[in-house]
Amino acid sequence: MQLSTNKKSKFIERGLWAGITVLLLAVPWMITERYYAYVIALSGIWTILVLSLNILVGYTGQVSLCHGSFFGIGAYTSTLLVLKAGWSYWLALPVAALLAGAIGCLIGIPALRSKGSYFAICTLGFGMIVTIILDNWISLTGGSNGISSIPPPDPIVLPSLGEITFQSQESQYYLILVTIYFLLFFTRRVMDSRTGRAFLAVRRDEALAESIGVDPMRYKLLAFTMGAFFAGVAGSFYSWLVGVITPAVSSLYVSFEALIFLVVGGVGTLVGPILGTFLLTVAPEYLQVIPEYRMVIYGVLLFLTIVFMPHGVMGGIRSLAARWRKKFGGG
Amino acid sequence: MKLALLRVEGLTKHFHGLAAVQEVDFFIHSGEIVGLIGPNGAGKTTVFNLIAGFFKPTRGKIVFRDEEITGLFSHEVARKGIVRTFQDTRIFGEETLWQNLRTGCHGWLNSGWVQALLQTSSFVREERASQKKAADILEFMGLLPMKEERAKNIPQYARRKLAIALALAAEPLILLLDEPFSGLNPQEAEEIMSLILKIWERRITVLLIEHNMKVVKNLCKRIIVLNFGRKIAEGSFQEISREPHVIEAYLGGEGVF
Repeated sequence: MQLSTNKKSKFIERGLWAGITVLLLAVPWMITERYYAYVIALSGIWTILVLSLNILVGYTGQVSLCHGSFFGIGAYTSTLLVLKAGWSYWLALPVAALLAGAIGCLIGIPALRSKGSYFAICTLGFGMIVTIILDNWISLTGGSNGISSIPPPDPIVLPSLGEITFQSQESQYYLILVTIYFLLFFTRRVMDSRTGRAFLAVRRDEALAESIGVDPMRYKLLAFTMGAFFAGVAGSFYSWLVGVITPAVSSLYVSFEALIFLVVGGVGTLVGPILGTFLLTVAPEYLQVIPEYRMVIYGVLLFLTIVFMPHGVMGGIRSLAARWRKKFGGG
Repeated sequence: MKLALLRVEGLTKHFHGLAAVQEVDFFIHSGEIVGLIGPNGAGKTTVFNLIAGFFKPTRGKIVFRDEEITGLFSHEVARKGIVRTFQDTRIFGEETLWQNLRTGCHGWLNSGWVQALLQTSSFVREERASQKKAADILEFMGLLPMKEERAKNIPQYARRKLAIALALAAEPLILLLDEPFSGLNPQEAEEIMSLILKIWERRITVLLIEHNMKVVKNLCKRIIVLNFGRKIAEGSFQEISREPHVIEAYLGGEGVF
């Protein structure tokens, strides 16, 4: 009985994933208006950022307020390497992500020694420093004017198969989609391993984790570095999708928005970050929300989520599903 | 002479100038069950915290298998084979019993996230080993039927067993149990007692903090008595229960024994 229920729910889960995948692959055919296609692609980039933040906040329990810095570092590094050093984008992207990860690791070493809100304040300070540097290192970053006309990624040449170009909106969308799927795959594999169990152990009870041989500092630092790395990827994608970057891409707003999307979607769940981001980026566009009201709506939504769905939208769906299962038995 | 598995020399811990543990010496041989007793505030849990690396001693030395481990981090001490439980029965409440036990296997495995991502053969082998270990210990502790339950949803008594199971998953050579019997009814205490004996039969040395004298009398061949941070007696139950210091420490203590 137990086993068959398990199998059944696994089957349903697989089916759901397949359905969603088909739907996501078909998006460019369903949404043909350029502006909305752009909004969807942008929301995909936010999703990458929020998924990367989830590794740290969701699984290791460390609330960071400088995730936007790694987004900004990724955006600026890849852009400068392409525009000023003339690198291929496909070399600039990993270097930008690695630099974001490396800086994350260096900042994490002192910052992760503090706990809870003190850690949040440390990261807040670091986040402000990054924005100030980008704003004032004018010879490199162009200051508050930022950098414009950032080209899309170079074509990937496949021997005897032709090449994949990234000029069109559809190809950019698919690149972002593949990256999201990779990040989900990455998170799932890591969380279903000794490393992932150590992340959760650190989040739940540090002293208990230590008593069974988990080094909390090591795993917090690993999560922080991984998060920074993928935030760097998101930032780099952002730079060519929008075409313009200013120091604002590294600002506290970015960090806070990512955190809000995560909390609304469901901290520490695989799909929650995607739902939260979609709900808070795409929906307002479709509902024609006046941009000035956006922060007000975020505030209200955040409040409602924390009060009524402490585990986010994903947690809400789960408890509904559990109630439904109880009511109708079995299934 | 038989070599001590764990040796503590001149162990001292001050908190803000106040001595919680003073000049405590003792040793534990491999294969013993030793009791650590004393009135409330005697410094028993502090001694545990010092041995397990949760506190750094102010003075003194801790030697485990001929290697000084004083000042090591607690996770390093755990990986060397000293695993402790907590007085407040700590477990990973949000996780299932199965996940708890899998997490407990952390210390004796090595694979990292890269191996997990690539699903290398060493990763798969280690995952299997930890699954086997988790199933084995849940079975041993009689918790296997509950393995898919979330740890916070099981009864208090089962949680107590889970906390011990979690420590066992870390493959200790010496298990430090902090009041495993408190708040249990006689029947439950009886079962935990036989479990501790079974753990001991698995060649795991046990150091046990306990208030329940009946338990201590039945389980421990050797008992160390602390009072106000100092060791005031050591020996078999008969020996320590004759010590005037000990009787005095337990205030009108004859009733206690």
